[in-house]
Amino acid sequence: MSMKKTKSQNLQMAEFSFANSQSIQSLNANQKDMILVQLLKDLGLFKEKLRLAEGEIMHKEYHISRMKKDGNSYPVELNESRLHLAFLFSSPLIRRTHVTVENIMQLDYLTEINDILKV
Amino acid sequence: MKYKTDVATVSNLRSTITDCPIALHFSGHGIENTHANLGQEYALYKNKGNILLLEDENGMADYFFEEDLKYMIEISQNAFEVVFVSSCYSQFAGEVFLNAGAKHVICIRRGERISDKASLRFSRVFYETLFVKNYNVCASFSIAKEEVSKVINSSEASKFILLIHGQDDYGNDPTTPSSHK
Repeated sequence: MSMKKTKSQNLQMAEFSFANSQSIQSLNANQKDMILVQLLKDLGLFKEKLRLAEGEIMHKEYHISRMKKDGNSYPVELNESRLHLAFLFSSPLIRRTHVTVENIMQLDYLTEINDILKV
Repeated sequence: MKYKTDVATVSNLRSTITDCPIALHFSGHGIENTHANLGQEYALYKNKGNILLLEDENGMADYFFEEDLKYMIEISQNAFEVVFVSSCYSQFAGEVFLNAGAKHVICIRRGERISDKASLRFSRVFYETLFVKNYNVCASFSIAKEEVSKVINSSEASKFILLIHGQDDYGNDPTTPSSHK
């Protein structure tokens, strides 16, 4: 016995498959939206990370330029200088003011200089 | 290495500044410009900054003010790359040089006395690293300080401070009193 579908059955099936395809389409659209939202979120995160990295680079560049300016990061240039090291020693024994005379501790600068020059 | 030694009179200081040395090793005292230190003379000198004690021709103490040093450095258009003030309590003297335009100043922390042994060890390693091995000032300072810490002790090492123009002091560890110079 052949199972012949009636017209109403066919119509019902068609409606059913149309509804299915619509819900699949709507699911796909939702998924696409979700993916797009996720991408936007990721983009925001990347932008924030980029902003922080740029800030850090600028901060480091500022420090490097400041250190270069102050001469902190480079060795001193010996060839261009006519004098490398000057020793000035001062060890007065007496300090006189209008009313007082005060003795000052003597520094042993000669030993200090000689010992350094041995280097 | 080219070097010279002189007594620190005003005239010799001027001559040294115009020689444009890379480093100045100043062995001397500095005092704070206060009424307690200057007595009645404070009224005359109160606006001239702190004081380096230089010598006059007779070997007596000669006040040299921060303001005068600053002016001397300004007109000679030369700023010291590094000044090392090696005496005890030398932070006052160090600050005078720093405020007058020295780029780096090494001195002994305020209120501290330093042993001869530590001072000498530090100076040797510092100058050797700076001039012979060609390191920069900050690295030479750190290496010399490390040497003192290992060979003498860490408390002596922590008394050495590096002042950098436009920055806070460097290597500021807490200190404890110890043997002296």
